[in-house]
Amino acid sequence: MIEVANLTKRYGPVLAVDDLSFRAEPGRVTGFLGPNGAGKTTTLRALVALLHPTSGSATVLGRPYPELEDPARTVGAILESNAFHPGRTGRNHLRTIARAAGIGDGRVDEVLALVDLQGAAGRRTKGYSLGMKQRLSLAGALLGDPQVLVLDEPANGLDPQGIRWLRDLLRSLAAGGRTVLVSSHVLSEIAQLADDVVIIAKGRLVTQARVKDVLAGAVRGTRVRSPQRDRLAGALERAGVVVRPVGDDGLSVDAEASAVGEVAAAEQIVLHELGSDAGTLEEVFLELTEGASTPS
Amino acid sequence: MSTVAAEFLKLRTTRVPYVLLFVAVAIAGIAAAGLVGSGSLDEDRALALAQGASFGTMFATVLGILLVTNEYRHGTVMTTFLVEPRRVRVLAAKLVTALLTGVCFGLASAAVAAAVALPWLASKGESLPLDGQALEGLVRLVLAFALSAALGAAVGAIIQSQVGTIVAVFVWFLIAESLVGVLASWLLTDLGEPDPVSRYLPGSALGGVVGGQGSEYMLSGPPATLLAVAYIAGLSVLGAFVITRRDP
Repeated sequence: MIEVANLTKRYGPVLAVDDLSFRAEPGRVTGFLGPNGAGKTTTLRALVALLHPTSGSATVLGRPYPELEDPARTVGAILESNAFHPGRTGRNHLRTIARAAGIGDGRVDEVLALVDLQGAAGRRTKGYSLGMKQRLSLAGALLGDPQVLVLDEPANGLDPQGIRWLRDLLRSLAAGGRTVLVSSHVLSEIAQLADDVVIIAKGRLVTQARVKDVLAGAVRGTRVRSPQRDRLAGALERAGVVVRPVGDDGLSVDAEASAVGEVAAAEQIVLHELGSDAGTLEEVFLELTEGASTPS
Repeated sequence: MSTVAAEFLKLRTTRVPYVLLFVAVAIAGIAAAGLVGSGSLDEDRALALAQGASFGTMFATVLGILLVTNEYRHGTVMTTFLVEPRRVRVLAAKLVTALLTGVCFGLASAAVAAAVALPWLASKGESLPLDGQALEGLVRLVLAFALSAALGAAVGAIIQSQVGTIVAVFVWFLIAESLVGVLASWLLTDLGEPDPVSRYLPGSALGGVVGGQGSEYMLSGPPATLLAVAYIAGLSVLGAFVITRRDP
């Protein structure tokens, strides 16, 4: 369980995070979404006490991060995808974390196998690809078999197979009762991965919701095409329905498809297409975050 | 304890500490060869050898600087603080690691200096008795290495930038302190005479830990060591203050 309450972080005149509150529940993957510069990284760093918030709080399992009994075995985090000494091997990088956390080297080999990095474990990290670095970061986050995972852009630099692999891994970790908070600026990465989404823009909360509810909210009305478009528009407007022309012969109508069909039948208007006007999550996301970025 | 163990593992798993150790030890050997070969060793032989070997302490300072600033340079400081969010403890572990590594550097330098000097002196029919004075030279040299490394770690915590720290430390040691010395002796005494100010500066105090030639310009032995310890303690407190407040 992660709880962010009225978190604010000010850098000089810039409000990086502005009175942000949300929670991430155990057993679920929570996507933390926002355009670049929205304040995601700042929020995640405040959550693990890598930065001091101006006001507000962020707690993990009900406690501020530094007050956790055994932070490394409670929270696993990725906050920077390239935080390695270039001259140290991948395995030794993990050993230094394990040593500090009182974790044995046996677990190091386990997580290396888990992220499929055994082959490269003996090489210096300066020769790693971005994808390998992401896997090594993830291995580090998983070392303590933590109940809570905080991952800042873990899919950056992964190829499509890597993203699918990450998705399966995080889903199985959440299925085991863990709390997983994953940030991204790429919605498609999150859409199939997360149960819940927290969307922020300009440091402010836009919405927190279940992914499926956000998608349901994306259905805005009905799309219809007709060679007699203007007659249809007139008929619908007389019925008190808002219509918008789309393309040469289309209309976007704020009404159920059945209602549009009935009006067309009554007026004997030919239809070429009639269907629900479902926006994609991407459109909803853009709409929501743009709305929030206009100055109030 | 585990934090100190992790710091040692960090040192052992990169190359630069070994290079620094090699350079420090090589300097000890070359200095010993120079002193014996030129026949300039007088009565205080052990101390003179220790002073020769103490040129390598600047590499212990570099090691101390890297111990802290490498983490900021490569971003690993975040992982370190995730495992141990009490940042003062991280700094304490790094200071302990610097001190202990400095001890190792000092012992290794002394061993090499002895390995060069003893057989050579013996072949010239001279000797270097392994007596109380030799022990004092060893202790002073080891202390100088340990304190030099700790000083680097403390300043590293304050400045955090690797290049910035190295430049600041060596500009201070090699240039600023000399300028203060020149200025002080110009204002307060005759040029070239020992002035009453510069001996209390940190670099001079560290130099005085070993002492030896030129010691009329500095404090020597216990007072120098105490002053150096006080400087390091003060810088460490400042470092702890900065490291807890400035976010990585």
